[in-house]
Amino acid sequence: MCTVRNLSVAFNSGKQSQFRDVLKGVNFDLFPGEVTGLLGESGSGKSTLALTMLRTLPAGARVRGSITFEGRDLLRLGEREMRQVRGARMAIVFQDPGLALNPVMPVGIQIIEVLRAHHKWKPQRLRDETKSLLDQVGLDDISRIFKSYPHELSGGQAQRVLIAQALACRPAMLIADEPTASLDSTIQAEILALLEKLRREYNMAMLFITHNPALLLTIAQRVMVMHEGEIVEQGATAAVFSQPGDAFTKSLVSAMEQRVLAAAWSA
Amino acid sequence: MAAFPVNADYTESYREPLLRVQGLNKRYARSGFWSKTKPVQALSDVSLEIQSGSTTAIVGESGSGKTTLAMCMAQLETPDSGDIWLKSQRLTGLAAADLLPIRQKVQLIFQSSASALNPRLSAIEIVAEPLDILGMVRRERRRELALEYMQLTGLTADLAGHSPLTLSGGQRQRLAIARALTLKPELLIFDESFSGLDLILEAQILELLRTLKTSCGFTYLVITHDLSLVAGLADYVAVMQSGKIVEQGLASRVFLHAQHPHTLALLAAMPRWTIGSNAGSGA
Amino acid sequence: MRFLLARLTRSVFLLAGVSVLSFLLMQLAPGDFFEEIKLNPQISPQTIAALRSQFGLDRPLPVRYGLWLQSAARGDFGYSFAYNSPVAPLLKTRVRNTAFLAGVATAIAWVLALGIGLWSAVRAGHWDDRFCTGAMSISMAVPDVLVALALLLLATRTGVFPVGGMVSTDFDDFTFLQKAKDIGAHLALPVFALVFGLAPTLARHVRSSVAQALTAPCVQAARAHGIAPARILFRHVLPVAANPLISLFGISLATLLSVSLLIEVIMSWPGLGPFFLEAILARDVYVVIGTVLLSTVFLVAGNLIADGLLFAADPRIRKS
Repeated sequence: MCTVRNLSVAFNSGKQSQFRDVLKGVNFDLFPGEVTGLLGESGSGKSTLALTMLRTLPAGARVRGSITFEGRDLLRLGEREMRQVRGARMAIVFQDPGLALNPVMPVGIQIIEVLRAHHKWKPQRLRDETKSLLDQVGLDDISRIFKSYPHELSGGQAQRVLIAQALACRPAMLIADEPTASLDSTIQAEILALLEKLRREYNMAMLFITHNPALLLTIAQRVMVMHEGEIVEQGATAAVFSQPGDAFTKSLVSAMEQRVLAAAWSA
Repeated sequence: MAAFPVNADYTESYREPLLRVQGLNKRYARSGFWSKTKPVQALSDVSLEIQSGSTTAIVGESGSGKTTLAMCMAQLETPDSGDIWLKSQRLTGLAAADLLPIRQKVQLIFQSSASALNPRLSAIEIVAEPLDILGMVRRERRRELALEYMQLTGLTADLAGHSPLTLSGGQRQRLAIARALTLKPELLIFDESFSGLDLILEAQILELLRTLKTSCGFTYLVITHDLSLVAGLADYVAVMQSGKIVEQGLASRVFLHAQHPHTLALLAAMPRWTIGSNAGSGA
Repeated sequence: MRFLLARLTRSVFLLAGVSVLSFLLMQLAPGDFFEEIKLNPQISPQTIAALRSQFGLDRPLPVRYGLWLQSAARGDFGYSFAYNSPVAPLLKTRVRNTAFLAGVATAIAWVLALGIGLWSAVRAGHWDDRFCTGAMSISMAVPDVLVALALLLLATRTGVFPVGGMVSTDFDDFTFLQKAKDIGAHLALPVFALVFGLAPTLARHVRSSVAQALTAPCVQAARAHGIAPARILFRHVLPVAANPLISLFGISLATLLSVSLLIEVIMSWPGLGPFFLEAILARDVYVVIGTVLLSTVFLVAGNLIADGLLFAADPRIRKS
């Protein structure tokens, strides 16, 4: 459903015509109803990839290659057409709900804003749909949450609001950019389970971006490992992790193994 | 909770703990001139002993009071009641002037320590700065000493002239550790110091800590929200929830025979790494 | 509510403090109103002494302050020697004129600053932004007095705008429409001078806080949700950028007032400015104190309005 070919992104590093490569010729495919993990360290270019797919890179970025999504090359769409893709067909859940939510707008209104951008609905319908979304992401006391500002919510609640925002227009594809990195570990597990449940219900394709291989083990069917702007390895999750072919993947896996020494201990 | 009895198979004979905290209470009432909000009990009757040469971990989620406890231990926060001893010296109630040498002995490294390094100084100046301020060592010796500490933490001499801005996240974290080491602390407290790091960098820093511990006999207190981080590191684990230590004991006991539901929940949330269990099932 | 109440009580204390301080300072200044009259040989020293005791100038300072407080409580705010009248009614019309001038200038300056600042922030780096920021820097560097004088020169040379005053001499015979037009014509120059002095500074602040808000993660998130750029700008960016601007609004009211006094003197606008200057020169103590106090009221009111707006705009402040 989404085919990325030879995608390169370079940022203008201040000086005229001097570009720094962030993504170097990336190729991959995403399939409907499947979770693909994108594994990489910070600075490897994984978040840049997410922004490139939505075409929300800051000005001064040079993009080459193609992103074919639902039969159209996103890099060749006009800005107006692209806006109809963003949030509606391809949506994103950001890492830190404390930053991704507007601090001075009630969260209910922030979901309505997304709905309004893609539907010409009456206020009552927008309101009803928002409340049903809040319900779907497992929030209680919906009328209170609707009126709450982000700082009045816990981290887990705010992250659920972000998910509701992303799912508002029933996208065909969801990009989750480290959606659990800023949460406590017990909440992380809940959010992960929620994402997986909703992905099944909506039959979405999901690109799950993280630096933590253990998360991918539970959620992703396929993984791509990104290192310094290149995808160094991709394949079925179990295969990549049990027999890593690339040196970088190997070091990641061994770091993970050290980390969960205790898991082996207690098993 | 009474002071936790030291487990016999951890220390063969009872030694005096390096740091002892007993019945610590701390309450934050964020009150202004007009408003009084509900006070938050950040610490409630917390007792803990840190054995010399051991690694102790305090595990808790955000708001559990773990950072407040660290701040109290480092004398950066004053508890409402309870006592803190460093070896045989009672720290609570000491005058501010007497606390100064104590603060050197207990060094706190925050998550943001690495990003709080002065960008206008070079790496070696950052490490040498505490020596300059205290004037403990002769001027000529300071640079040498700073370089030694940099090398101890795995930073090569050619990085000495670099600004922290040009260093990687892992290198900056090492620099923060080197800087703390110059004061020859007896206890190093890491407050979420590794949460900003990637897996590989984190593994390298943890390896560094293990090496320093065996070679120099350091005592660590690691404060984290992530139980799996301390699995291969800590000798002793205390689990905190809403200001209380709900469970503490030797790491092996806490990991293998946890009692408290909160510890069990944290254990359940630990990442699993058993390849082939459910991965690829939906493909 | 407590937030506003706290600010309100603080303002009352501030006003009391300013009144004491200005009282003290005026007493420290050498001489008084009657020193000048002494030079007139036709008035006998006895008369002067009688006048001084009538106005209580021979009493000790705390007593005079107490007397002034009494008079303030009556709503007179002391007595003007020069005008031989209580201070309050004298101030009333002048305050109205000053407030009118300052109000119009503030409104225009802010509308301009918001427009230019927003445009400049959105177009950051393009030629039009560079032009705007360049023009702002230059106009900020030109002193207000110079602008006012240049405007006066222009007015006298061309005769398009009336020079000085607030209304024409035959104002009373005008119809309502003519009156409005007349006041507008008289307003134009002082307002232009004030706006020219204030708007560039404001626009720069608008530009920087909007530019910062544009890069805020929540704004980028809004873009990623497919919300239209114009809606993002007005519905998402402006509220995020508003806080520093609202505080600036309070400060701008106060600065505008003090600049306004100067411009009024130059352009002979019948407001507090010329009145204040006159009173200082004549050592008309209570008029000076009254004017200082009023300026403080303006300043405090400006900040109170800003606090109220902040309170309304930011839920995080409302909570604490």
